Amino acid sequence: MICTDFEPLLADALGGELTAADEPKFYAHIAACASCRTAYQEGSSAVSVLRSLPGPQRVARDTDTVIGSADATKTGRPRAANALLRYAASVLVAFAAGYALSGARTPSPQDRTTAQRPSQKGLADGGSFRIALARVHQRNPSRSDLAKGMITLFGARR
Amino acid sequence: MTSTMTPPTGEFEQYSSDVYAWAYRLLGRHHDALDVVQDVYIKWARQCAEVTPRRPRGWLRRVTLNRVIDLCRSSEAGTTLKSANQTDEVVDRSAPEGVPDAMDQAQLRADVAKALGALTDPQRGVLVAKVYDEMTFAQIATEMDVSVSTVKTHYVRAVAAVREKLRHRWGEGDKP
Repeated sequence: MICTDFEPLLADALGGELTAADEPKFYAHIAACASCRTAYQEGSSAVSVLRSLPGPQRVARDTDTVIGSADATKTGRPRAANALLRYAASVLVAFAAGYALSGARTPSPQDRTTAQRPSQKGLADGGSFRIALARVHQRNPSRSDLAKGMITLFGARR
Repeated sequence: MTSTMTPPTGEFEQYSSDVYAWAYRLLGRHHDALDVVQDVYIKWARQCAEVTPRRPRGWLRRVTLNRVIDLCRSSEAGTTLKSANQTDEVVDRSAPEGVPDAMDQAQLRADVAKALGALTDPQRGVLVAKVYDEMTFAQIATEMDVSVSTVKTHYVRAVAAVREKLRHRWGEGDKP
């Protein structure tokens, strides 16, 4: 049981806020009072043990994703469906990237003469469409990959 | 108009890394901590639909710790955490030398969670704010809207209570 008047000083010492002015009073008391001395020593050990628990390394990026999925969950979509959608989106992105890259790497002669933006002709002509998609991506990489994937799929089918 | 219809996600995002850190320290697993972030966010959104907490960080700390302690109690009772059987993919590079190995660390986390679970809400909040968030007593007093002496009292009593719960660890060469 610690001395009541000593409690604020003990808090400061355990909390690393003991001022230079209070140090003499603090050390004089723990030298004279066994129970307060034990409280300080064991309290310091307890705080050290608590601090020994390591903190996280990666944080913010994943918490944003979690908040986004929590928002979706609140609108009614279950978490499993969200995971499935994310997987489907990643597959589409992979296909879209593959189409866009193959189109960008090997343009056919007619691609050089066709219109720059996707058109009905571009939809039928997969090469110029793929080049157009690659150029859109280069101009604005932040556009939705899912949208690009969907455009690629639906565009290829027409 | 929109402020009542959409939850203040932006404000939560400001503290999401803190929520994650509080959860991770006690759970030690990335995905478990993320689950807690998600649960706390949902509670936050529901709370803000009624009235936004005046001291968001303190409110979030309290709710996060309560959630973590509930999970630890469930885990102890036999309902294992989702990733309890998986290896933790986050490497604890921040662990200093002399920190126990993974098995003992898991036990330490369980002991600490149990010790925190035995505290009152104010004691727990002050202890975590002081030890992990490294706030000063004055800052904690402002956040909790109480006096500095009250914060100090909570802190000393929290440390004493935790000290008792963790006393069995002193025998492992950590004797003061």
